[in-house]
Amino acid sequence: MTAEIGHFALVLALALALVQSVVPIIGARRRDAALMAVAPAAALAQCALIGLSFAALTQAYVVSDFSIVNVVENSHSLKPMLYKVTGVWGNHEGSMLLWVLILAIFGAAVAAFGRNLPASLKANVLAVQGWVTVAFLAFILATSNPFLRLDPAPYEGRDLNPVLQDIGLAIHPPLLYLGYVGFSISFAFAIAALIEGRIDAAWARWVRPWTLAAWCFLTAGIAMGSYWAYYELGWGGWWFWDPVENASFMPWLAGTALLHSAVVMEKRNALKIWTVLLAILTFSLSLLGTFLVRSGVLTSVHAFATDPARGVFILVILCLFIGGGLTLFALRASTLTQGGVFAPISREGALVLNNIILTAACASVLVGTLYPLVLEGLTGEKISVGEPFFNLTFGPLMVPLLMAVPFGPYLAWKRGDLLAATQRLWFAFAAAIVTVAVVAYATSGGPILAILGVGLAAWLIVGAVSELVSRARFREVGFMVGLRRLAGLPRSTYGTTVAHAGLGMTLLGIVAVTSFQSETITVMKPGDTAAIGRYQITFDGTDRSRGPNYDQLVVHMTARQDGVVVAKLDPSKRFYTVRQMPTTEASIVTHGFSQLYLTLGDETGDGGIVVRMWDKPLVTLIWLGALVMMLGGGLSLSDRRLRVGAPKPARASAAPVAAE
Amino acid sequence: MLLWILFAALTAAATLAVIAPLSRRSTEPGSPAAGHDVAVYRDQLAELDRDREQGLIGPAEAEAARTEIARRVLKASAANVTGPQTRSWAKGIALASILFVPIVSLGVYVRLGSPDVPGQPLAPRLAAPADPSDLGDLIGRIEAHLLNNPNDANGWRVIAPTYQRLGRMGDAADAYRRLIELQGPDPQLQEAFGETLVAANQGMVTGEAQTALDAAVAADPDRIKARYYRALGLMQAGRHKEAVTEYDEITKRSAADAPWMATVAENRGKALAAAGLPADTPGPQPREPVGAPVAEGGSPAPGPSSADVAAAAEMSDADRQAMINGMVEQLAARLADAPQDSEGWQRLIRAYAVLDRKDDAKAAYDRARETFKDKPEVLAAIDGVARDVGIAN
Repeated sequence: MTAEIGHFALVLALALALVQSVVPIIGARRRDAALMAVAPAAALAQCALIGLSFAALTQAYVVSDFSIVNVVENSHSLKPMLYKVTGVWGNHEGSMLLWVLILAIFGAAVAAFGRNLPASLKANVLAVQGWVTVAFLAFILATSNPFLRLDPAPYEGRDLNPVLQDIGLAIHPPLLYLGYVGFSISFAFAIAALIEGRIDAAWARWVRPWTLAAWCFLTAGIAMGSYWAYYELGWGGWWFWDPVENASFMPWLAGTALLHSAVVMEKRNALKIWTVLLAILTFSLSLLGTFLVRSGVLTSVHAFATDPARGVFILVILCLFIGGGLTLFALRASTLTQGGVFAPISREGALVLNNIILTAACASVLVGTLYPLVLEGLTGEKISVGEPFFNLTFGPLMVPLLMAVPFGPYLAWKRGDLLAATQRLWFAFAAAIVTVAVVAYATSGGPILAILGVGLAAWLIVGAVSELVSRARFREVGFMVGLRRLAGLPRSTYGTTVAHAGLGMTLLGIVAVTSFQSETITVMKPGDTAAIGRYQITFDGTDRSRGPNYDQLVVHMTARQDGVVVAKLDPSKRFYTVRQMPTTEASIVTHGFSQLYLTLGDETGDGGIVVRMWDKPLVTLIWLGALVMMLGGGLSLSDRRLRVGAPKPARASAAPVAAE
Repeated sequence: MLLWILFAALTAAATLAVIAPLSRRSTEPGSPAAGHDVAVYRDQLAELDRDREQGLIGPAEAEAARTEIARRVLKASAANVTGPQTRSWAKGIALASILFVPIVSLGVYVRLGSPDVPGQPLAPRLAAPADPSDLGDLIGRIEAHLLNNPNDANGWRVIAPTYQRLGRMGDAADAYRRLIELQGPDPQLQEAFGETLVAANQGMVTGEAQTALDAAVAADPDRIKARYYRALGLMQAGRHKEAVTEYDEITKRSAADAPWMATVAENRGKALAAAGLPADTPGPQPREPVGAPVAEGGSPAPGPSSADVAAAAEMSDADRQAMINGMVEQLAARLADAPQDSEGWQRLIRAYAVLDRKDDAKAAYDRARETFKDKPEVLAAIDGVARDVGIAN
């Protein structure tokens, strides 16, 4: 019965979403307060209903109710409880339900916390949210209904894809969806502004925190997905330029650009039109990501099911929202007032540079992702656009951006002094040079690009931190006052520093692991010893055992460094009996920021087994850096201080009437 | 009924959520956007003061910023005129919502939902005592058990004959195959495996079935049923003389009044004819009649399984013919749709030959040759079958 209540609640939510997508717009047009007030009420009720629906499906998974097709296809009575719950979204139907649940939660958040929002803007924003909800609820009910029933019910389910039976499934999709769907709020604000034909002061104040929150979640979601693939798939890699990865990376790039242009808009009232366009593009890329992953165009772990009807439906949603959004933009953008003027060398100018490069990088990823698909669709020819393409396009775009990052915070608004900024960055520059020298010496002249890469990472990190120090003005005001000034700096300043330093950490991890890792593949038998990096690995023995829903072969190994035991490793191979699928479970030992990574290949038949080993220096920095970036975003988000545009006193003869 | 009451309550709550704001008496005109702008600018002014106290902004810059913000405030205040409040549509929209929400939700739900199917959590289902009269329930339990314990021979031993009795011959054959894998060869299991495989393949004795039957007969020469299906297989393979020998073996090992004797005699006659032997070729004598096929002490009569042969034997000739024809037509139709099945063609050619439809056999042979003209190894096998049944070019 719970399942049917969940099903009905979902249908009811669709009815409410229809009301929410029409009535508030009429209200905003007619300045009818009562009609506009429907929006928050409907959004809250809708969130409760979709929550109820999601709870009902979760309950069915928890009690293994095999009268529901979705549960039969993706669960198993012996699965550990955690995976029963995460299995709810470990499949196409359930993950779409999670998608709309998060959408509804965001809508409810706007309804609940949007008190200081102008009534008509709030009504329009929620109505646009309502459109998105209607589209996706209709998609779920028409093509991907998780509540379809089966009678008579079987006694056992077909189990969840073993690769997904991992704690990562509990974290990665919800975070990623919080990011994707969070951008729907920026999109809704952009569309609402276009409908109203004006962007008021509250608009920018509202868009930036939502974008920042979505960006934080997306950053963490991508990092988590990357780490999950790294330890679960057993290939030892952390990023593959796989179309599915790119699908989440493109919204991130566009979202990062949006984040920075929203700062300009909030502070300087400039770049309004561009910000609106970026908001539309970012959410469009999120939708494109959903389309690529969910339509079955791509086959991967993520494409749970392929069904042409679903692909066509999502394609229609995609065209409606992207096409509609851009058409509206083309029609109404001219009605938005232009913002303030600024010199090319200024904080605004730096942020524009950031936007241009990020957008270009995003475009290169888009081409690399879609070109093979389009080519296959047109000519049937299958080509693979992999790392070489992205190294040649994405890489060269990123280098100037990364070099420019430390300059940004040093430049003043409206008109900056590049020379002064350079002078104040001398310490960071020196630090980078010293780092390059030290690394070149330590690796006795390793690959030149890698050494320069490490230097660039140092430049980013030291440059970000030195900005804080120079803001405190220790040299001018003395140590104690400087400390007080440092403590008094707004949190958003700390946010910038921390996020930029996090970027440097990630870069350091990437460069280190790409250039300095060592890898060994060898056949080992009990008693054998192999060398990897600084370690000697001894094969102690094997062990066969049974897990709750799999059989496994565990290999016991000991890692020694100069004869001293540093770690015990137990990589294993599992065989999931129900799905008849094997998986490899890598064994990873973290020492400092580096990792020793062991995974098993095939058995050779004469008692030997293929063992792949990696010594990965500083690899964890890749994900820690992303978490630090997220922390920076969080710091900035927690800064409730309003940003005030502080123009220089009018010393220039023709000071523009600032920012209007 | 409870379900529908809950649906009604949910619908009522959802509708109420929509109409509550519509029916609120004091609908203040929503604060105009410009008012919000002024509020934002006032916040900014306050912020500016705080920043200056902290020294985050120089006095000159702060003064400039103050002027700038003040200019914005003035502009926003000028725009701060409330537009004419039009007559509210609240009543109409509320009324429409009261109709719209329930109609849409119930309409969609009735098309998609299954309100009659009760929830079936697994734990109470397993805890409930098995209903012995409900075979499906028992099978479900055993299947669930075997899915998790695929190496439990006892489970397969219980479920294999159950499938067979229910006519799920393919499942039964799979179960016997698994059981033999787990337990090692056993003539009784091989006999049952062969029998179910033959049944699952519409009466055709496949290579796998023939191997199993051969093994069963070799290990236990008194397996009458295994011999019977083996003889059928030999006939289909065009080994007519061996089939005659096999029927003679069955006669030797059966009591004279065994119920299958008539069928065996008739089949033997066909085998003789096909082998080109005279119809009155002498055969062996059966045993003394015992009144029942289940034999005297020491007799290896195969017990219950003979009843099945009896059932087949008791089927009227016309029925059997119709059944076999039906199976052959099915096979022919399947091959017409999916011709890339060399084993299927071989079976079809044999089947036509057995049914004495030489022209059809010839036509099937030609089509098979056409289909596999690029695959010499397949052609060789098909030619072999054609030679067996005597239609080769």
